[in-house]
Amino acid sequence: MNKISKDITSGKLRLHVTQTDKFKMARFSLNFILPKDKQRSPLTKLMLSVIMRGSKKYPTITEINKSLDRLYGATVSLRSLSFGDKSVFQISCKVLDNKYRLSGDNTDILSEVLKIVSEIIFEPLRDENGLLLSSYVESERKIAIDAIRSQINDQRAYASKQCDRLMLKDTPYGISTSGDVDILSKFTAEQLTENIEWFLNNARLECYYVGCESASRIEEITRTCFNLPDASNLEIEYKEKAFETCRNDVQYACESMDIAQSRLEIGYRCGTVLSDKEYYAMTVFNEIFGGSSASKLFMNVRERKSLCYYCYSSYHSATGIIKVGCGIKPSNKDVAMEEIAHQLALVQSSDFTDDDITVAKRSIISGLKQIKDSPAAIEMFMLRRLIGGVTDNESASIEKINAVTREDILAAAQRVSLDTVYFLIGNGEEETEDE
Amino acid sequence: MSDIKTFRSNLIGEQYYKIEHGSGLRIYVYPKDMSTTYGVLSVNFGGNVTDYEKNGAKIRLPQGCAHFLEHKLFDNPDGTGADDVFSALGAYVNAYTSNDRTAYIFSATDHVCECLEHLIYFVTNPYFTKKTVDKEMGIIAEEIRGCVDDPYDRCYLGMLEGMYFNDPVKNEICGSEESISDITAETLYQCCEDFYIPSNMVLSVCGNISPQTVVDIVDKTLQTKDSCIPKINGFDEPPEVKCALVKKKMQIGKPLFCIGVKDCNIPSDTRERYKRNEAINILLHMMFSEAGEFYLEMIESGILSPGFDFGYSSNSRTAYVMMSGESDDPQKLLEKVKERISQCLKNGLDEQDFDREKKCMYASYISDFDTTEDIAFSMNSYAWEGLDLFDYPSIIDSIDLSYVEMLLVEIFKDEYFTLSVIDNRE
Repeated sequence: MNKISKDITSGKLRLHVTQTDKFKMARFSLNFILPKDKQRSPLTKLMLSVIMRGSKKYPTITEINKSLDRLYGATVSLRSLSFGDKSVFQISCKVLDNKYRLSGDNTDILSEVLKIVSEIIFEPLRDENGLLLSSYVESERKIAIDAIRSQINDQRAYASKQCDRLMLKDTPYGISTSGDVDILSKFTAEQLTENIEWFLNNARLECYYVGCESASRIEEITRTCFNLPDASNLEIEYKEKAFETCRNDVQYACESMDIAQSRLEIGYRCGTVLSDKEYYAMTVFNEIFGGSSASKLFMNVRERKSLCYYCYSSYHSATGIIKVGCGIKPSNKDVAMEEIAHQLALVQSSDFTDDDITVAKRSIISGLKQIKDSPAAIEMFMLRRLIGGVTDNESASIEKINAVTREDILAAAQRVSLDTVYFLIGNGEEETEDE
Repeated sequence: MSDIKTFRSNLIGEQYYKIEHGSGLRIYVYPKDMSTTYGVLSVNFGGNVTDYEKNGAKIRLPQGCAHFLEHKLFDNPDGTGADDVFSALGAYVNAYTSNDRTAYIFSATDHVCECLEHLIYFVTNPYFTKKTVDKEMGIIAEEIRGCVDDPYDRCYLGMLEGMYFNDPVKNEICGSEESISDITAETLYQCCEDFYIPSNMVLSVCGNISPQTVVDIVDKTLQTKDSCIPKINGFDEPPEVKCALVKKKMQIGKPLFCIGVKDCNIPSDTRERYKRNEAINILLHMMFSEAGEFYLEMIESGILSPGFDFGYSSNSRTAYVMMSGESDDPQKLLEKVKERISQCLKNGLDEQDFDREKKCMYASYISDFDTTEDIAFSMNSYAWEGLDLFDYPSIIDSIDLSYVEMLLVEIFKDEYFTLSVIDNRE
């Protein structure tokens, strides 16, 4: 695998090419990076979904999708990602490599797909006043609001989000890129249209390609399709800082819903982000605590006490928090919380074996080794590190995981402190639970 | 000695091997230069097996048995669990129970041989006690509760309940808290003895491993004696659906729907069934894909939210079209779907749409060769059908527009439709 990163336009657009003939489908993604903002982030997300509805040349999704289907069912998808105080708006394309074209076909699939993407971004469909089409605006607004309302359909994800909201409120980390119903209802077609220019001027664009083509070929296509002017004053710094709070008390919140399984979500501050030297130790700590099916939480809360089907912890390195989640009976809430607290206390007091450390490291290293098997994983690993201000590649990361000592893990564990407990409780379950 | 047969694809530029192992186990090995090796050991025993015959005896199982067994096989006789063993090797292990099969999988970047050895070991060396079975009740009960709260799962199950009169496919694979309470260590041992036999299993491995190495590991590890495969009793199923509308109330953001179209015309020849399967999928794409006028109209009129899924799936017993998504007015959407079908019946299908969809299917097939996981799973399911994974392009090639048009006339009769809805309101 041959990796090259290069500035295409100074201070604005950078291209990262991983040339490899390992995959039959290539991946190209445009990652627009912006600081989070309560108004601007949802405005941008909505604006992007509106422009993806149609362009001058392809006025409806039917035309866009027909063209993509002709290019061997290439896909172009939009999603927004959240990294601490930054949002990433990603447009990613998955395309068949040219060598698998049907015989007699000389289409350059990737460059044709990127021409469509370029057309969508730079030539969105506008009405006679130059505004984004109001029918598309209203339709996408409704879709965005519906999506927010549908968050409750997945209670595990909903509970996790609610815990984040509570824990990170009033900080940039807590800003939702999707916005809320109130914010979304107020955006006008004028604001959305104006936002296109603002967005193109203010976002940093990091493009990633993983596939067979050479870096020079990809550079040529990128220059043709995404010709953006140089920029010197973008206010985006690739550096992260852990979430802090002056709260001393633990926050508790409970919400009821008409469900059979209640969801417990616990948020901890750990003060460690990707660029901190303690990052690797924190990763190993999390793996031992609740990161896998060999972890303390899985082995005790699920296997030993049979309290739940899932119990895990996850480390969020862009915000410096650790989250624990499990699905339980309401009557088991206290015993589950006690057990989780107990397992944390055990790790904090060095009550884990050298084997636990070895197993945790192996699991993390295996995950790192798997990255090069997937274009999306290669891209995400690089993007995440870029935004976090870290240059470690996979092998450097493996070395650093291997170098973590018991003392490092203990030091990391001491940094973990309880911040927020959120409980999504099933209605009317309390009385009937204890058999 | 086991014979090794080679299958090669010039299109993909890769090859795999099939081994009929002396034990009766079918083994498929696809060497591939990836960091991750993926192994799948599947057993032809799934959630829809409730009644079977073995040596003349008729046996009835509690609902949820196959899934319960899947959980409990992770316990080793020495008190360790498969999770511990794989974790110690830095590997990942998991299992799934579907309606017709149970699959045990591992993925590993190192210690691949040890992982494979242990996969075969833990799946074929059951160890259950009353205590370990009782302990699992709480865990599975929580899994069931999680499923009960999943509106998408409820909606899908509602569709199956509406479609089928008798086939146990309409039941929850995990069973219910009540049905699993009848499961004992003895039940589980009996299921293992009857179904977990080499000729009722398929092993597929893709990654950094040679066919000979896999055979050597199987030789060494697989001790289970083969016996005759039990006869799984089917259920008489009328062609029409049991109920045209199934509604359930749940606290959700927006109504969900699953439209099912029951298909009882299942070819017994598997290649023919695959051809029919893929032809119906092409047909569905021609009528409902995001590149079509139907989708545009539904999105622009606000009847449908983005994220409209549709597809046809079939096994030897059941087959149906399913369309699912979110809609403010599922009844209206169903009307529109039927209108679209009538329109196609009246005006015929477009040749360009047909060619485009075939091209997409071809690319989608090629994309399945980019991960060892996809390959290991595909090889496994093709093996159960007795088909060659590399034969797929020729199956697609054999589909022509007139065949698709014939299916259009055949499958969408009014009495085959079920609509399942999950809504906030009754």
